[in-house]
Amino acid sequence: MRLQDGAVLAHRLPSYSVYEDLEPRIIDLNGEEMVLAVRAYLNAGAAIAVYRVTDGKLQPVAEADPIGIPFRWLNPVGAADFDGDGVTEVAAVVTPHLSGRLTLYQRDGTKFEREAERSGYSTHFIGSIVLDMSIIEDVNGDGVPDIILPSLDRDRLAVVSFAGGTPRELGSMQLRSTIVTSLIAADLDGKGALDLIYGLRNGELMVIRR
Amino acid sequence: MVAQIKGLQDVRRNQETGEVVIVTDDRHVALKLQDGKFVLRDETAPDLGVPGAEPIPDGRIAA
Repeated sequence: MRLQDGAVLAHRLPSYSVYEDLEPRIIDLNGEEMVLAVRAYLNAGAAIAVYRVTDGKLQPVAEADPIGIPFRWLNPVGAADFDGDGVTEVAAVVTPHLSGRLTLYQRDGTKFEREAERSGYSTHFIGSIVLDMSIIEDVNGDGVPDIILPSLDRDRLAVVSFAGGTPRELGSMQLRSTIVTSLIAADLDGKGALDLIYGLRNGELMVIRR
Repeated sequence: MVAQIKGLQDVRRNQETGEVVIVTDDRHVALKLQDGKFVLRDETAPDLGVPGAEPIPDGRIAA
């Protein structure tokens, strides 16, 4: 991890686990900037792991239990107060190539505990280096962030809400082909609203203007 | 809006400029919308480390 002042910090894992990720993510966890990464245990699969910079060192903060099966992976979505309880959760898609469980984790000391989950989603396909197939956004305007992400077969875009602690799909949209790129929200035309941008396997670049 | 992009691999955001960048199998270009059409611009296309990537000349494709 390279800081703005040029300092480089590193955290080395013991030999029974590795980082199975392309880049760490900077998240806001209850008002504190932290680093989110995927740690994979050789005998138990992947887990979310969060670090902070303290006293010039990259220090572990909290970690979830790994999936429990070797070579099972998860792909983080990000951090927000997804259920509206005033506490930040970390969201991830657990086993995106199998059951695709969109899972919320809430920190309890040095542990992340599973709080809620809903199956049927995928933010990655085997062989791809694209990890950002999801967006955090308050779609229905209830003041609680929702998650936009592909369905398990990636031929549908869904909006999932965990507001109130109960996961439910607010809606979905059928795609013309499977999504293969990152999902991006950006103001492409300068009119102030965030457009939705993604690409499909058939080579089509899609922009949903809002 | 839909555009057919040859060799489309990914769309990313340049974290320094905030621009949206189309990544194909051999190049990357910045994307904007202007007058209801896609505008691909070369002058701001960042080096994303894609082997063999190079900007393409300014050009438009039908929306």
